[in-house]
Amino acid sequence: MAGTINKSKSVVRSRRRAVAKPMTKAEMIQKMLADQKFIREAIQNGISFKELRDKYGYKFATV
Amino acid sequence: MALALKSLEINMGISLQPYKYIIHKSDYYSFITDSGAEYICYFSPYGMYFKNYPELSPKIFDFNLELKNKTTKTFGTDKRIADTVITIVGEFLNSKVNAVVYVCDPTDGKGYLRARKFKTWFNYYEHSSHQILQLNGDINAGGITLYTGLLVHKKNKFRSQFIEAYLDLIDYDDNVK
Repeated sequence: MAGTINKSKSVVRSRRRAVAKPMTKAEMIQKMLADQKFIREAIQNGISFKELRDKYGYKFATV
Repeated sequence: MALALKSLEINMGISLQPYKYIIHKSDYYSFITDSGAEYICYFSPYGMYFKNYPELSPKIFDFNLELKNKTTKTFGTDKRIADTVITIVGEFLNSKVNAVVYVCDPTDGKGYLRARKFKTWFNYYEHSSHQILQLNGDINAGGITLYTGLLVHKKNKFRSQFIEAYLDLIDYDDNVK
C-alpha cells in the first residue's frame, strides 16, 4: 500500500515537471500546426465553435 | 531568414470593397464570395507562446482564415476576399490593445505562397480608419519552416513590446546568424 502511495506521488511529481517544462521550438511548431489543422477540419466537418470551445477546450477571441 | 518591417501609410485615394460579413457572436466572422465560397475568420489566444511576456500575452491573438467547404470551387483571384480580411483584421486591431500573429500552414507545400499573399494583402492595407504595422519572419525548427507575420496598430501603446516579443518568438537573433 505504501508503495502504491509513493508511486502515486511520483506520478504527480513527474506530471508537474512535465507541465513546467518549456516547449522546444519544434514542439511549438508542431502544436501550432496541429491546432490549426484540427480546427480547420472541424469547421469543414460542420463542428460548431461552441463545440470546439466546450468539448475540445479551444478558446476564441470575443468578436 | 527574411525579415521585413513595413510601415503602411494611409492613402485616402484607394478604398476597400469588402464582402458583407457576419459576426457570429462571439466567436467568429463569416462571408460568402460572389463564387459562393464561404470563408470563416477567427482569432484565438496565442498567449501560450509568449509566456516570457505576461503583461502582453493576453493581448496576442492568432488569426485564421478557413474555407468552410473544401470542395467549393473558386474562380481566379478575388480581390474582395483580401479587402474583407483586411477590414476584419483592421477592426480587430483598431482597439489599439491587441496584436495579431498569423501562421501560414506549410504542410501542403504552399506555406510560402500563402505568406506572400498575406504579406501583399496587408502591405496594401489602406483604410482611412486603420493604420497597421506588419512585421514578417520565419520560424525554423525540426526541418519545418513556418512563415509568420505580426500585425499591430501603429498607435498601439505596446507596439514596441509586441515587436520585441514577436522577434523573440521567431528567434530573430538565431535566424540572422
